[in-house]
Amino acid sequence: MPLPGRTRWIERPPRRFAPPPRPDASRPGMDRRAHGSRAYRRYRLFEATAARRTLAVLLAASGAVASSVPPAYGQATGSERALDPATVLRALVFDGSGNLAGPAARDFWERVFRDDRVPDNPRRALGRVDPAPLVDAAYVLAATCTGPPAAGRARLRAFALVQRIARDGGGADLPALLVAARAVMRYPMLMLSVERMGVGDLNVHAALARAAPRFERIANPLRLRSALSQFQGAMALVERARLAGRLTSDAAGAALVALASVPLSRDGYDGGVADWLARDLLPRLGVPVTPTVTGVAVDQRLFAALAGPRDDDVPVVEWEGLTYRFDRRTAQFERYMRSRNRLGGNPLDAVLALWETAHALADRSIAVGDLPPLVEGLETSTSVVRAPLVGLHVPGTRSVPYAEQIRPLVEDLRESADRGRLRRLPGIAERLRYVVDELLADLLRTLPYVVHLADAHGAEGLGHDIAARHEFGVRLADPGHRGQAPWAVPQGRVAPPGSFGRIDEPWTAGTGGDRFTNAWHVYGSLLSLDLALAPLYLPRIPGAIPPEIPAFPASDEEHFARGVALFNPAAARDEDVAALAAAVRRGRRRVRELAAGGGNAAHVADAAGLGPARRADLAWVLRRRPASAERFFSRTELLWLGLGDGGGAPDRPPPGWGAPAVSWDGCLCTRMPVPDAEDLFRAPAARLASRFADLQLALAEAVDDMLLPAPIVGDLLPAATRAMLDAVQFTYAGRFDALVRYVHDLPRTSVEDYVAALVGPGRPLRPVAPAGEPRR
Amino acid sequence: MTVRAACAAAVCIAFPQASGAAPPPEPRPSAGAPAAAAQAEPALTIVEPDGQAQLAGVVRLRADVAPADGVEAVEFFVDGSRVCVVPAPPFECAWDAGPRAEAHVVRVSARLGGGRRVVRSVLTRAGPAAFFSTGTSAVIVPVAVRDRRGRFVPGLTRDDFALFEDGVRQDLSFFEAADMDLVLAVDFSASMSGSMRLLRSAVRRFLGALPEGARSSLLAFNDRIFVVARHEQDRDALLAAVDALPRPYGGTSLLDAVVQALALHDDEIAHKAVVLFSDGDERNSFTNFDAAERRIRASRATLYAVSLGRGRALERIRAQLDLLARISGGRSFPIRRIDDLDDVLTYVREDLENRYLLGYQPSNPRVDGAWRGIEVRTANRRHVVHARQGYLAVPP
Repeated sequence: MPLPGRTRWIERPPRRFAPPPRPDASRPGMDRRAHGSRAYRRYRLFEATAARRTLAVLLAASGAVASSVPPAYGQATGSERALDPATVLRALVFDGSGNLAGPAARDFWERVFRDDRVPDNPRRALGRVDPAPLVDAAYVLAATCTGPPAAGRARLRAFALVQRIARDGGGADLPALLVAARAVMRYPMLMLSVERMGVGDLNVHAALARAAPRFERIANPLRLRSALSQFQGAMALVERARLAGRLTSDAAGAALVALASVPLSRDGYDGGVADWLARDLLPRLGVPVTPTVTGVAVDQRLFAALAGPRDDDVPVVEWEGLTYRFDRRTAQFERYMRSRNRLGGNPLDAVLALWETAHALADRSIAVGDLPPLVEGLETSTSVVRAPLVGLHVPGTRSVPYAEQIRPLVEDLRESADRGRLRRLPGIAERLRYVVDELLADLLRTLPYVVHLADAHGAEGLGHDIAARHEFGVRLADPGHRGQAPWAVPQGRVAPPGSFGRIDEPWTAGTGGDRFTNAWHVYGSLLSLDLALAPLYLPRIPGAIPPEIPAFPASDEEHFARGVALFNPAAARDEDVAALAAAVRRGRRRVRELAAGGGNAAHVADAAGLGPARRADLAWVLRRRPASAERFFSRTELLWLGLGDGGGAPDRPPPGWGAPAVSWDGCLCTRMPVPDAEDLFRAPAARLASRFADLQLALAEAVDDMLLPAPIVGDLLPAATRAMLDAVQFTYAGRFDALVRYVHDLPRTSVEDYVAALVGPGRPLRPVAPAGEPRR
Repeated sequence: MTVRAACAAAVCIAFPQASGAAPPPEPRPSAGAPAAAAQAEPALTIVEPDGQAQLAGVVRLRADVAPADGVEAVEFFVDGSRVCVVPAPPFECAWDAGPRAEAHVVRVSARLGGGRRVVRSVLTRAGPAAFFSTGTSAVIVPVAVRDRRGRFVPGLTRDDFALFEDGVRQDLSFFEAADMDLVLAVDFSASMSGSMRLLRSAVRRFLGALPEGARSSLLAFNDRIFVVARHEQDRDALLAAVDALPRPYGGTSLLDAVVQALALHDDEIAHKAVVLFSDGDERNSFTNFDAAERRIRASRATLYAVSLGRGRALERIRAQLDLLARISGGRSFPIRRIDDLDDVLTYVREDLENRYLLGYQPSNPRVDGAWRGIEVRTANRRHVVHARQGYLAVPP
């Protein structure tokens, strides 16, 4: 007997939305074909709307699909696949009457989509907005699922970002939202990174959105590459410092506004970003700026700051009979230093020392007596400073080694000092600032790689020139594409260098390229580079015996690895872990009561967000296999069953925990998947990863049981994810079910092994020697 | 100081005061333990090392389990990495602690069946360097000498060789046979489906014919990399590892496999070699060719690369493997049919067994990361000498 549902039509879908028969799960080729069928897509649409219990959304969506959305939606269009309406509806929130939640005036959205440029005066560009009519599901689908797929995706990003901003209390300022929406369509990583940093001030969004178009005015690809490297590299440092907890969101916002206001001409920054580093970011991070050409102190202190705030109360852990300090900051710093040495390049000290020299030379109050130490510093730099791998591209000169570039400046400066001529100094300072720009561009392109490769496995194989191989797409022929490519979500790929849009990035000329043409590299933005490097976060040598064909091939791993990359251990709190574990336990108890004959099955099914098929399955399980009812639910479902179940339990899971949401609605965050009856049987890996938080919950539960500090979950996730992806095999119940089963069966001894593996250099568990013995 | 945690039940020996008002927890059985876990557990003792030990060089790890009847296997970990698994008494294995005596956490886990286990850990002490490594500055060059017909030339003495580094003749100070450290890297990507059975048989024969005492590692790779056996001297265990390889699937990370195979070598053993089998194109590696080449130059291992199928047909792959092998003093073998594998492996085995090991202290002692070219000659001009082309002067 089916369970009574809240609405009958959810129990029994209308005939035209009936689910197609399930193909043989052991034959993924067949599954893919079924996945593309119209019957299946109709069913998905029904599912997506049924989950919201909103007939209005379903009717509007069906109408749109019937009228404006082409029947071939979801099919490949050119090189890109069009958006699936069900995916769109799931990514957004609609109210009970079927309208878009948050700012929903159709007039507003039409003005957003009228142009993709960021307006200088958003108030004027917006004008007066009619509050009615409102955007409904049909409008959303017509806006996103018709036309070029790339434009549809950009619009979906805009809808989703504005909804998130409005949810966080920023929905009233429509002009600012117009800027954010336009900017996330054209410069996605710029806006999404700001959101990732937790900066809620829309003035920051606006300042950055107005800064981004300036890069499109730089025609020279070498100068453009240099400017992008400086801006994005600097912003990536702010991002890292914020995520590590070293900067507050206000401080990060202020630093970003200051960075956005650094003047940028067609020739580049003219030392402006170096100035910002020395006067804004480094002081904010508490790094003393006392650079010397031969020093490394500023460089090292920067990484110490990026490793996190100083913690005088490091937790002490008793584990398997030994005592450890749980010191993530020191471990992170060690990893940063290892990564820094591996990638090489000039230390920040040398570049800032050269900038200080240029600054001093441009100072009108400089005296002849001040020049000799500057000459000496420049002279010294010729023996310690190295040119970037891509060469020094200073206007008016050949690309030559650093020493050759700087020697004429030294000669000119020496001559000025000897003859007491100061009028040539501004010219020398200007040339030196060009050199500083080039060196800083190389450095700031490298530092995000240093930071994000610190946690990677097998990174040494990437080569020391991995940062030099970064492709922004600065030589794309189409100006529109050239303007947007550097802000695209970063992605790694194995491809011939320079083949991104048939461009030829300068590094291919500078390094001679890879003689055998294949080189893994990242293209797109430098911001949130961990998205592209995520596959490297899973241990590269997974285990002893290779498994039989795993359900997830290596190409699918990145989706799960993004969950590792986006989870921020620095923000994990012990009380969050306790709340999650308590909720799962409460959920388990609730299911046990249900299996024992107590409780209301329909309420449980509603709370767990079960779809029609699983409701029927639950009824069968309760009737025939009550003892296995607990295993019927995923851990995430158990969590939701235990949340808001009275007894002071919170209604919502703590923020920052869950599955990667990036393939869900573009958010660079982890979020607990909300139960919404989605049938994941045929879902691709990206979707599965975005719905799967069970492993993280299992680790949180174990960590709570074992009284370990909450941030350790972030250290356990890589090994646990790797083991899971190796072990999970195809089953007839589908891949998602296999993941859920794996976590149910995950023995505590495995978690203990993952904890025990956190000992050693660069790892957070530091053994404490018994009293009287030397410490490590 | 905040003491936050307790730990796995079987090994918790102390529960210091936890932070906050909560009292320290009682020991709990670990998650995998059934209700019967309360039954008497065997006593696990780490016999070697003890908490006073300072570990350097190759050391022995030894544990005692009493009674040992119900023990399925004993696993040894050092600093979280598994060193070995011993299925039956005596529960001991060797581990190379490196030249410096640093503090290490040695962890021993005895699996008891039914998901139960007993774990013990010990923290060793740091101390001054107690182990002198001969490999710190000496350069070891394995050399194969053949005549014009391709036959090995046996019985040569030190005086028959002349070795030049960057054109400067070096004094040969070391000349003796040494242990061999071999890494077999086997491609089990999907394209190997047709040839895996024959490859497995050929690898078994190859391993079976290796000299006693040779240490071998088995690395299996497709688009992931697995270390199936590490520094194994037990031939049966190696053959079992070959048999355990699954059906082929996935893509090919050829260059990643080369780099990881080189990283598997034991630093203390002079005679190192990698034998690589692959039929795949390079599609999935994070490593690029330049980085792989740099690793080959920095390592002291000899690479033998056997390529078939697309690996043989594609000029680019052939050229890559050939260049890497030549730099290392090895050779690449593009073979047309899998049946030719036995001949190739026989050649490789003879090549490995008949290598002379030349050693010298470089007259240029600088460790500046620069490439040092090596040329080896014999007095007889009709001899064909195979030796690595040089090395990168980087710290060992």
